[in-house]
Amino acid sequence: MKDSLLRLYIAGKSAISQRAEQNLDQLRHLIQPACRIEIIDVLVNPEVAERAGILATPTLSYEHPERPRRIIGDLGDTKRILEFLGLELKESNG
Amino acid sequence: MSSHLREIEIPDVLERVKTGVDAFDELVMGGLPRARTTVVGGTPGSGKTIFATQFLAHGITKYGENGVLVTFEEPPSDIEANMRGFGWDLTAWRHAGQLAIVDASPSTGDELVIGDFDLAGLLARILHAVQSVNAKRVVLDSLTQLFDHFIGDPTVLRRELFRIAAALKQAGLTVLMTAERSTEYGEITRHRLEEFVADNVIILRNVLQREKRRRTIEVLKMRGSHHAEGEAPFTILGGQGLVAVPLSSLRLEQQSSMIRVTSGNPAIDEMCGGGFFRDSVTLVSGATGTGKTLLVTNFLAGGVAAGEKAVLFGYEESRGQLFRNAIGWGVDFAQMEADGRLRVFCLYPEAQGLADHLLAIQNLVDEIKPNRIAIDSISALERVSPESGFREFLISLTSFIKKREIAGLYTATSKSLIGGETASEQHISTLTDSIILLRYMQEHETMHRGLMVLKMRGSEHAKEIRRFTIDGRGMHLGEPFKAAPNVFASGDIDYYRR
Repeated sequence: MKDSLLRLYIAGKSAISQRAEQNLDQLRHLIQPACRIEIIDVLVNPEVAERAGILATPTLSYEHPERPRRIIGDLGDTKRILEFLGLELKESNG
Repeated sequence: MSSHLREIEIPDVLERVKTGVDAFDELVMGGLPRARTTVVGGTPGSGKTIFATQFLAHGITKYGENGVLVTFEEPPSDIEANMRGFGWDLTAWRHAGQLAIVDASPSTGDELVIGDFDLAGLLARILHAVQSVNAKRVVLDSLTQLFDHFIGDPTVLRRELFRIAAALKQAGLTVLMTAERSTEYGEITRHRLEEFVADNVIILRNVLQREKRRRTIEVLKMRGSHHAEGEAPFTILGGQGLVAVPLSSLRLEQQSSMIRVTSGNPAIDEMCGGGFFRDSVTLVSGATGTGKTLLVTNFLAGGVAAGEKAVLFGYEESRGQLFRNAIGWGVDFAQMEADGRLRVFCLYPEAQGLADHLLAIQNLVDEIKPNRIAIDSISALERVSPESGFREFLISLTSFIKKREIAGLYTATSKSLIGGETASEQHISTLTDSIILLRYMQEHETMHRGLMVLKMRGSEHAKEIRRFTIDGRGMHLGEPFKAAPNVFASGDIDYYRR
């Protein structure tokens, strides 16, 4: 199975964008199997946002071949995010 | 966060951006103010998307201004297909770099909103599209859809919409946003979106009145600018889009000429003090069978004989019937048409709404350029329309005829055989320049026909009621009635003279 990809769309250095980046950084260490992370700044790459159909920022896009999902917001609520994406916490978490 | 909510400098005199809907641009004193945001509200099916797309289409084809269409509702492929019917080739404009479409239509995937967010993604995409085609005009269609997408967060949405509107304004863009209304009269838009984004508010209505659809456009608010008030009728035509009917131009300021033209009957010319005025409208009113259509026939034939071009719009009888009637009075319509001197158009009043009837008349008159036109009858058209719409129609038609310096003749059928008045007479008596009444008159044991010139603006006219007969050569006026008590309903004459 290919690596899953979590792509985060942010808008420049706004407070909410930075918060989302930090929250995602914490999140990535909690999940298994490991996901690749990609960060797209819509202010720098609006054409990428156009192709992906991004309206809101931050948007976290879970690029899963069978069940792609998106979460809009600052990614503060780890539990709900993992539930929605169907990802599991690492056993050895601690 | 509020760093880009700087004060926006507003120039003293607002530059206007033409929508290309001519009569609408007149309502708003030349067009929408540049670098301002206009919200177009309307119920589903009121023509919001068409109006908004037309704003972009005319920008591209007529005024050399490129545009961006942001669609929240239908995917771009659907819009492109739907708008082709109006003659707007969005695909071609896109390929030519004149139009960019931002597809913000709902995606199929799962989505969850947790916590705070902004719409910087959307704004970045719009600004990118604006840059890519050097756009001057932007349309967002519709805000309501965007709002419903993030229905759980109305406060965030309001704040973000305000930011987007402010940013587009600052970029000097003229923005048109559509928003849905739940009712024709009531709350301006759902979620009251207009309150925090709009400099200007326009309402499109599509009201069912007397079993007919009536479309109107109203300018509700225009910040820092004058605009015409009230609802102006419009119609939606294939190949053209939205066409508004000019109402603001009805100030009755037409220059009346003193040039006389024949009514087609020398005796009536004499009664009118030398004929009708060239750019005047005359109403012929009478019960059924009193000779209104004969008067019309004479009017047309008299013009043609004087070397003029004439047009007849018939709403009561078929072409065949009109032509046979005319032959019966010694007038050959077919020959006149063959000579290119006359055109006869017969239509069912029910075939279309009044606004469409008006546009049809205007288009044909501008194409044919006649010297005189006759409408037989105005009361048939009244049947198919709500009262308010009928009055607007009459005002617009009359002002149009006078502007074109054409002699016009309307007929109206009164409901009662003797005396009486019709609703159309009430509407029209103050609008037309002249009124001729045809009435049945009882004298002893027999019924006669009587003709009277009741009003002739700017001219002396005969005051007596003349008896007349009709035969195979037309209408013959005879002696005035000596005594004709109670031939007009009480107050009748006073009414018209007001």
